[in-house]
Amino acid sequence: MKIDINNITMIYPSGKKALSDITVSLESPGFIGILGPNGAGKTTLMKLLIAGLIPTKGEIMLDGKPLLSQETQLKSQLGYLSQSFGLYDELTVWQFLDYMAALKGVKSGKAVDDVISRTNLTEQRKTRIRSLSGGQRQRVGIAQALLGDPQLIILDEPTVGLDPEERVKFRNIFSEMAQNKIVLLSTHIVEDVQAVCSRVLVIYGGLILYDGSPSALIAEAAGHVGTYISQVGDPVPAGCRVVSKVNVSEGIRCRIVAEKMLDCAESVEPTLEDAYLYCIHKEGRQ
Amino acid sequence: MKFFSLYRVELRRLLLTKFIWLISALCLLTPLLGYTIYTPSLLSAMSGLYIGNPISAGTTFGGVLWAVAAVFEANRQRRSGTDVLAAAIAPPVTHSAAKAAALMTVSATVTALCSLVYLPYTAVKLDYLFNADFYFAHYLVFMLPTWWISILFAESFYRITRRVELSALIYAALAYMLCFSRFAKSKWLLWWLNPLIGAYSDGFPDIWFLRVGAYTRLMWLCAAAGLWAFSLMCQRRYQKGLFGSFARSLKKVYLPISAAALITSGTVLWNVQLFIGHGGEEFKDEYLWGDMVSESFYNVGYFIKLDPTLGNLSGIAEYHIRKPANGENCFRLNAGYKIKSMTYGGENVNFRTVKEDVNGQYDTFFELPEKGGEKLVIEYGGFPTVAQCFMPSIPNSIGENYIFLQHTDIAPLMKNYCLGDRGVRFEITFPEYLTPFVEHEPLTDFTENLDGTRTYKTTYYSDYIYNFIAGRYLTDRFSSDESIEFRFIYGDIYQPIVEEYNVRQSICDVYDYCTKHYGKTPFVLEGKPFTLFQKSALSLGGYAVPGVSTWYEESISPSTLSDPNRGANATEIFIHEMIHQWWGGVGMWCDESDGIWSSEGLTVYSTYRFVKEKYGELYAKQYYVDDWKKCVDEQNRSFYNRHPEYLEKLPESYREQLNVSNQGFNKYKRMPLMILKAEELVGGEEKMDEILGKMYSDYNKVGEQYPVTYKEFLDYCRLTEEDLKLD
Repeated sequence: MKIDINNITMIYPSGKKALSDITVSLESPGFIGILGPNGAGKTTLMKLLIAGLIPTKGEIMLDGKPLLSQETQLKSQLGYLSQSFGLYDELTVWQFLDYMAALKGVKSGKAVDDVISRTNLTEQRKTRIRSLSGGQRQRVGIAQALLGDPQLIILDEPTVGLDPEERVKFRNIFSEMAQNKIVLLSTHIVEDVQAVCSRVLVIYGGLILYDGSPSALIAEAAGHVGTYISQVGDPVPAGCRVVSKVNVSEGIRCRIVAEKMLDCAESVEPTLEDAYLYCIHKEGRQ
Repeated sequence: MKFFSLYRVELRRLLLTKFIWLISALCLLTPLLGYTIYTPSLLSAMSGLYIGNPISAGTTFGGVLWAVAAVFEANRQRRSGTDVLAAAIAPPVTHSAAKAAALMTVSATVTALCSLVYLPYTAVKLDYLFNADFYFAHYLVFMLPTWWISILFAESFYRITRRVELSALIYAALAYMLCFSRFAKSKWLLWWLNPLIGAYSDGFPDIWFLRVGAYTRLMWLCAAAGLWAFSLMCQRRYQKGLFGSFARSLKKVYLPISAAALITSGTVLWNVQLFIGHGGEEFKDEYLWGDMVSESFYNVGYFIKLDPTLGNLSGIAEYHIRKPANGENCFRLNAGYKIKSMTYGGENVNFRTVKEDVNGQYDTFFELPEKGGEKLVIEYGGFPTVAQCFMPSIPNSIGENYIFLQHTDIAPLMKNYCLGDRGVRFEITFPEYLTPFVEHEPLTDFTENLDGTRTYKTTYYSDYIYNFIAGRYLTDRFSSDESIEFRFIYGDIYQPIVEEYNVRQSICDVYDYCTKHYGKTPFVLEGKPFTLFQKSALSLGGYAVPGVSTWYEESISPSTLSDPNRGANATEIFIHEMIHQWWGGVGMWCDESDGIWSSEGLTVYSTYRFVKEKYGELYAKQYYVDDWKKCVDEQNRSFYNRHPEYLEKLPESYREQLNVSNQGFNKYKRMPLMILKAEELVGGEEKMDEILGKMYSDYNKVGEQYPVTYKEFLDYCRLTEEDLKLD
């Protein structure tokens, strides 16, 4: 499967420009992480990819054909988990997944059992959804996205509400699935992207700031990340963005990203989160 | 394939939804309203009371409940956010169709359950009148499709507006405007929620209302499905608004095409319907006749075949014409019939039918060559239309148990021509189990056909057939002391009642009593039997012609015979109904506009007098006078009757209920007591009999009869309103 996003601009009827002339190509196999602050345009991009929106300008091609003319084909190959979704509380886990399997046109039975097992819901298979915890509901949401072995999996904040152990487990499941398909993961948890994504898109203000491997993004930030000790009440030095603060005996150890590193700062090895923030910081300054 | 898997899971999901169970349970209860507050069927036939009313109530109120369920379901998916996941992976049209089909399946199951739940009670209540096919047909024809229509409308409104309160408002407005408003009052076919049911007949069960019900439900199903298909185009997609989504959906050409096709089908069905005429609500009192050509017809023959199963007639009318009239000729025929061919002397005649409905009839114009002595043959047929102005009475129908037709339902009514001395040869074919009458005279000359039908032949001498009736009839002949012979023609289903309550004797006794006290009914012809002809309640009202008086079907209906207002027991109720031959019914009518004076009151008083003569004063006092006094006393003591100013504070429905109750009291209790008081004031029973006799005789003397007013009665008695006030 190949998806070409060509010069897409999306302006909502309210006048808000969510995406601006974006061009990107997604090809299987690929595990693509999408990073960006709230309101950057991540969800808009995902909705465009599931044909939930029509772009104001530009075109999305699915295997060389316009996406909107391939809606049926797209739906049959799609696994989607939106940021906010609902479940039918009166159904059991199995019944709900059976329901979703029917919506997808997937033969129920083994397929449902399989995703129940993969998402660690075996014990809850006969439990009514209204009795599930938040994390369990999230797992049901993930399970429905995985139903029928879809070729395109779009996950918007899938690991919200999961405990760290589960997050790791799901990361691995997604990673396995990406062996032969496209998995698009939008998240605030940079660690998830760093752990499993082969490619990362950084979106900010409706623009793609970065498209490449996580390691290249990290490399771009080398020399722009450092730490220094500050005291309570000290202002943030101009041109810097504080990534984190840790109280130590000398004061507060601040981890910063900056285009030009402070003289007093000690340069450190950047992480993906540093690199992402550096990327955003750089764009913000522009 | 996808549809069925979606349908399966949607159905299961609905069955696990508590709200759907609640709606289903309430729907099962809705027919109960038909036993109490929602009673649309006219008259008091048992099938109307125990089939028509409950099923109509269930249909109407259940329809509203299913609309609530449909909107709730549609809104719930949106509110809960499940639509986000579903919209991404499921084809929206197929998914919507599966959801609607699932809800309709649940409603169909509830319909089936409802029919089974009420079956035992209905069967017990109707007893020998119960007909299982008739009972189940009501559920199938009225309840099920109406519930579906309701679901489709409600879903459509929600899909278009995406607002619960707005959908409810539009639904309520549509239901009110087309079903319950003044605008819809006589637009019977617009009643999509509350099926049209008129007067039921126990003795001659007719499926006319079921036929109309099936047709109108089909018509409205088309319209609702069309709107539903249209609403699919309004389904919000791509985060666009109503118009944006609609514009995008237009690209799916099958949607606008199916919506247009379905709505057009509904409109066409509305326009081509043959059940109720498209003419006005007022009877047009216009005459067809022009300058008659004396004896211009001879060898006239009508050859008619009736198919009661389909309700159709096919006929050939033949006329030998001595001398064709100049210029354009015209005949009038039931608007439901089509002229298949017209020949004169074997040559085709050009004709044109003007589709302007006059009392449920169309005029057809044609020109004949000047050459006389040839045979004009008109072939025609179809389903007889009921004139709008006669509704909800169904005067002409061809049913499996009852057939009632008038001239233009049988044969063309010619303008300018009149009949020669040789009369009309009339041949009519229909199932052998029906007994036919022309102008209340039985047809006896018939030949058996191999297909279970009979062809009856007769000759009659009139330009106009006023009525042709066929039904499952029995005929009794008996005499009274007054040496008059009665011919009592009634539905065979009533034979047990006729036997049990000795109806023959009551007829004789009442006839003798009323003739002696009030005078002979003017419809009795000297030397000829007096025919009491029971007609189906389907055609409301009654009539009397010399020698014949119609006998209301409901007079011997079990529901009438158990009404304590009409007499102390069933025999006396029957007596009461027979007395209506003098007061009300086909006898003297009272102007009931003042709310007290009524034919019913006079009849109750006469029944009391008859009973007093037959069973003694003590009996009559106990079961009549004491009962009237007790009821009038209760009525007088009623708070709202003593303080009518508080009535205004009551809701309209309660006021209406009190009003109906008071009307019943006034007719059946207060007025007989007032006449009894008048009797005392005018000088006793004999004097009152004289007054009533004079009133009756005066009423029958005048050519055009107007209802007798209360003031006229007081004038006859030389009393004032004040005199008859009951304290």
